[in-house]
Order: sequence, then C-alpha cells, then structure tokens
Amino acid sequence: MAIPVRRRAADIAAFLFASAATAFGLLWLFWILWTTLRQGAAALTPELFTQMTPPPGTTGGLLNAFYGSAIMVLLAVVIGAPLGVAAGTYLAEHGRHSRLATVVSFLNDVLLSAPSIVIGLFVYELLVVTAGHFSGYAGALALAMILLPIVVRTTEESLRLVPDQMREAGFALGLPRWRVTSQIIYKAALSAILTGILLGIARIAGETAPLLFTALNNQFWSANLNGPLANLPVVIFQYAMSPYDEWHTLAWAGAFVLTAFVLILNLLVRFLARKGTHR
Amino acid sequence: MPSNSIAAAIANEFTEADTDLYRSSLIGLAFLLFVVTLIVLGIAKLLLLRMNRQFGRTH
Repeated sequence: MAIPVRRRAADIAAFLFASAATAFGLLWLFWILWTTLRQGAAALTPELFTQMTPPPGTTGGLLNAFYGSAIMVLLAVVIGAPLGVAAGTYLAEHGRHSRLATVVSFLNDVLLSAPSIVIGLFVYELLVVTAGHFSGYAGALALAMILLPIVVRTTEESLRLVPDQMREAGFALGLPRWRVTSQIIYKAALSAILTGILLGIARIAGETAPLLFTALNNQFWSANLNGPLANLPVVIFQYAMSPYDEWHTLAWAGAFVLTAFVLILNLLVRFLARKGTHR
Repeated sequence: MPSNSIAAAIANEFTEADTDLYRSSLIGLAFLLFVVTLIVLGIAKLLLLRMNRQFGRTH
C-alpha cells in the first residue's frame, strides 16, 4: 500500500523543520568557536601555555590563569562533589518521602538558581572581609557553592533511576542499608553520578562573577591559595575591557581554550553516559 | 537609553564602592535579586505541586 502523498510531504516538511532547528542551535556554538579562534589565533602559540600574563605592550601567555583556574576548580570539586553526592544519596535513598527531604530538595533548587554574583558577594563577606584579603580559597569556596546543588540534583536523579528490585535483592541477602547503597546502588549509578560531576565542572570552569570578588586576579605566578589567584574568566574579563590590542588577542585565545575545554568535557560526558546505558 | 542589569551593576560598581552606604546598597541589590529568584522559584514549585495534585492522584 503506497503512503499518501500528503502524509509523505508532511513527513518531509517535519524532518526539514527539525533539521533546520538543530542546525540553528548548533550554528551559535560553531560561530562562537570560530570567532574566538579567528580573533585569538595570533595568541594561540606554545607561549600561551608557558608564559605569564604580560604587562601592556609585551607578549606573554596565560599560564598563571590556567593554573589558578585549574587549582580552584579542583578544590571546588574536592569540597563540593563529596557533599553533593552524600546529600543526593540522602534525598534519593534514605530520606525518600520524608518531610525534611522535600524541604532540602526545595532549598537545593534555590541554591541551584541563585545568581552566581550573589554567591560571590556572600563568600566575599564571609571570607574576604574577615580575612582582610582576597584569596584562592574564597574563590574555590564560591565555585564549590555553585557546583554543590548541581551534583546534589544529578546524583539524586541518577540514584532514582536505579530500579527498586536491585535494592530489594540486596536486602534479601541480608545486607544493611549502607552496604546496599555503597556497593550496589553506587555501582549501578556510577557513570551517571560522574556525568553530573563533570557537567558541574563544565559549569563552574567559566564562572566569572563569583571569582570577581573572591579570588580577584593576579598578574604574576602564584601558587599561594591564601592570596589573590589568577584565573581564566577574570583575566578574560579584564583583558577584553582593556584598551590594548595584545590583551584583546590573549582574551580571545583564553575564551577559545575555555570554550573548547567545556566542549570536550561535554563530549566526554556523552561518552560516559553512553557507556553507562550499554552495560 | 542604556540599561543595566542588577548583576552587571554589582560587578562593575562594587570595586568603586568607596562608602559604606554605597557598598550596602550594592549588597542590598544582590539581596533583591536573590528574593526575585526565590519568588519565581516558589511560584514554579507551587504550580508543579498543584499539577501533581490534579493529575497525579493515582500514584
């Protein structure tokens, strides 16, 4: 039986519209990558990763900014990820249907949608004002506060996806609750939880507002977390607003590296998620 | 007319806030921004809750 012409036409039209919408969405990503690559190409040299941020009028790289960003994101993950996984576990496993879990879940949503600049100001008052100086610790804490609700939410969602039969099977063997959670449920949800943490890293890697008042910036090499620390987003912010052409180029190059990093991280997430579902 | 957002105002002016009142005003703005997100989120949650009550009785 032949498919009526009208239905086939509608099918083709729907396919074309869907493809066009996808292409439109992807267009912006490639446009951003292309623009940052074109504008920053002149600074995309090995020096970018081996030299410090330069004073105006000379050449240099972004090594201290890369290092500062990496160390603060790492510290934020160390603070935020275990807390987030633990809280997500409580929400999905132990506190299910309890009143407290509902409240915690709502508060987590509040933190999730809190403007990042508000978090930056909060940590500024909490750590920078009391310590009397800007510090990498404050920056890491601000980033951790942004990462935390993301990890809580993704952990909760991924644990909920584990079928109840697996929990029952564990209990039937006489395992205590903590063993069921740590040795059965975590194993089943591992790739999903890791995916959530990686998505959180992708999110905080480019955050500028919370670092503006906490880690500030540092033009020189510094590995001291107790002092102002250079970081990629704030360097990009400052260099892009500066009147110097070399600084503009460096800012573009930094933006390109940051965008490419987030893109690669997302691809990794995709890969991990696929591995998780095919097992 | 050029316009400004709360977040941009805080980011740009916080380093220039030389008096206590100026600084407090900016932090007050941050508080307002936070309250706005809280209200929007509360409304969303309320709508979700009502929807669950209407359609989700059977579960």
